[in-house]
Amino acid sequence: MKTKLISIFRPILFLVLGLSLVLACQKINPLDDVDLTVNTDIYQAPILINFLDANVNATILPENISVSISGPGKNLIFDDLGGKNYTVAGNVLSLVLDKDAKPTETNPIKFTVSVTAPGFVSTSQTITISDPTQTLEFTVPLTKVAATPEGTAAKKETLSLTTGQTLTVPATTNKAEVATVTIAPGTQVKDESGNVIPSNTVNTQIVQYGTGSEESLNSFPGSFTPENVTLQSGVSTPGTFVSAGFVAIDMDAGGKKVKSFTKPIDVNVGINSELVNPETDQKVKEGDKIPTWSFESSTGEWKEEGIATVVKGSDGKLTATFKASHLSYWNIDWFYYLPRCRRTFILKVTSNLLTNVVSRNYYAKVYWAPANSNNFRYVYQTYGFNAKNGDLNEYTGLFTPNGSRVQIDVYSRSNNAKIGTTGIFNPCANSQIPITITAPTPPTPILVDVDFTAKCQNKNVNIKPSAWVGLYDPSGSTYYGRYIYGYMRSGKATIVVYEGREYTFGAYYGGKYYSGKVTFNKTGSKIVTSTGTGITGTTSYNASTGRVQVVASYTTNDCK
Amino acid sequence: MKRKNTLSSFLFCVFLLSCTGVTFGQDSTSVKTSKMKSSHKLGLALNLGTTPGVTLAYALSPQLAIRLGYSYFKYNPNTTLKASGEDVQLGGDINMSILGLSAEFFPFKKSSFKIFGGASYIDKGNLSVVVTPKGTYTFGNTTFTPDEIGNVKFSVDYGQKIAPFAGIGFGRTIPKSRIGFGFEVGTYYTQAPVVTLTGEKRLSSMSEQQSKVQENMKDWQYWPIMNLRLSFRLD
Repeated sequence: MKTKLISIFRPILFLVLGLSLVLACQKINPLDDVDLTVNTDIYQAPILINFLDANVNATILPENISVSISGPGKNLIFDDLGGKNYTVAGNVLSLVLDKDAKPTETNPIKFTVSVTAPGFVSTSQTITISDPTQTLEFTVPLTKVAATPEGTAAKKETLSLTTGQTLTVPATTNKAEVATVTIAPGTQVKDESGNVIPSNTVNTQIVQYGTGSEESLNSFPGSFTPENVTLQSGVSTPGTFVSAGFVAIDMDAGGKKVKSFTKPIDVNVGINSELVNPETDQKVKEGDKIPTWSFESSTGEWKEEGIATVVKGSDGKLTATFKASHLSYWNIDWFYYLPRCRRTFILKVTSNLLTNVVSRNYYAKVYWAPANSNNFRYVYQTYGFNAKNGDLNEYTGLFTPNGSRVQIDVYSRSNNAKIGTTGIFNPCANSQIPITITAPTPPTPILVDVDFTAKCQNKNVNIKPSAWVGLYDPSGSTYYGRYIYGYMRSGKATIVVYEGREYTFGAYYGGKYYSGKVTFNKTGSKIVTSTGTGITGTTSYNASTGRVQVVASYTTNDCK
Repeated sequence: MKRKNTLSSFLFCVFLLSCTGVTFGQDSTSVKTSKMKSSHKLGLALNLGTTPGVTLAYALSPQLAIRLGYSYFKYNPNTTLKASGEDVQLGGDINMSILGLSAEFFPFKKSSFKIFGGASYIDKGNLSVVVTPKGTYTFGNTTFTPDEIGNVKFSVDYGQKIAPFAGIGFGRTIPKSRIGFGFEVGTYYTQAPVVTLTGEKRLSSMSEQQSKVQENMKDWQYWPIMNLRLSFRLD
């Protein structure tokens, strides 16, 4: 019996051992490490707004930035989680357009992002979406009152309402113009509801923006290409401002914001001696009339108020004077509008750069003149320029009459040297504008393919996020050259960076910046996680394609 | 801590259960030994297990028989299940068709223990499973319905090829009695299957993980044979 049992079970034993050997060599579960992964490419027209200190020499970024959305399209604008919790992650706000919205060139969606930050002049950015497939990037410089940018100055004092008083923003080394605000004796101040605020004094702050400095003009709240201007006729239109001066006046009394007065206040804004009147094509002179405009930073709305008259002081300096019955930011500008002209031209680049370029290493200045005028005015800067293919990052077009004149100069950010210029052209004409770029040899660029995954903490599912990727390069000379952005759809994006340089790399999602430090090179590397909202991941180099792939992930609790 | 993945665990269980076709009980093997010499030449067997089908056998000697077998299995699962707390709809198709020629050899005169080996032509050897989440998924302020989420399709295809196989067992395909029971275990040796993992709609990124599954299955060259056998003597 025993022999019989042995004869039966011996082969079974061998069989079990044999099968065990076979199965041990195989990975049993073919779906091991396979995760249910959901794409979140839901919304349209992703928008990134980068808030920076208008002072290019600033060593810290604006903090505690708050935003609100207003305007006719506000109901169609969401945060990137699809909600209305507009949270600035560090200095970046990302927004999206409703998935069902259908904006067109003739029926665009327009809204305004109003921005406040402690210690900074409030401002706004009006955004027009006419193509839902577009990604839009904006840089919004914020003026820090305690350290204003070149060509601007601030003054803060408590003024007597009883006796009346004048607050003067004096000339500085880079701002020749002087601004004054004078309150007449016995003036009373009113709050937003029109109620008189019982106070004998008013805390007054003036930030004056001169017209002789491009840094000052870049800081101009609301930009020189406003989209929401109401004329005295009641017509609302976009257009282009040619500024003669700007003052941002803020007052508070008794703990309340001042919005108006029982007697108008006198505002005098100095005129730069080199300023040309675009109406006459001559330098501004005594007796010239310049329209005045008020700006409501909380809505981004400009309103035509009246006329300022240019007077000459005893010192020979010109000043535009006007009376202000309510408080806002006041602008003395010539205004050009209709027919609206968006960008229809293409820059055709002939470049000495043979490889891919980091667009943020270059920038372009846009100069504008009315038709038949040679007095070009600096309008704005595009904070990135692809010096290989001519793509003007952040160029949103000019609201200017057809036939006006534009010239674009391109600069290298590394040394601020001009590396190319266009001829003068009509920005409304469908044309290819040639530009020759002769740029210094940049550091070696490398293409990076991004593959991001967000791992849900509270559900067995992963997300392939559709969100902005941001890289921060601390070696940039200013904050304006330190950021590289790209939009990833369902976790995928391709960006150009410098080989061998360490970046803080991450994704903006749900009002947070998930990031770590990484160096992109040809040997592969590991992302070093930061605390709090860190990411994990690795890079690898594909020698046959010459591209780096970065596979990164972060953990989110935004899943249910 | 490593997360257990709902889809991964679920699909794997379905994959194994579906392929075995029936619940397999090792203790059910009925071993019948005989001390008598058999002079019967022809037998037919029905197999139930990982390669269900029929086998026709012809005895060349009391210790050696040649066999011609055909295995066929087709199943279309369509059910709703709960896997790791998630409701999922399961659909799909399991399709197997194998023609095999083999020999069985009984090395011990006093035992029905045998070894067998041969080669098969795999006409069809594929599995395809479609999993559709039934619940809603919310990310931030956006909720996806099952229809918006889409589905995942996982398929394994061994293609049309010749595959050798071998194994051991108990019980003759040509029983000495009119009816006999047997049990066989072994393995096919084939090339690694071609794997496809695709997703639709919001799950379209699932295809990016196909190479991972293919890598996981690179050693899946051994297809198990585990069959209960009911044999009939025909002469």
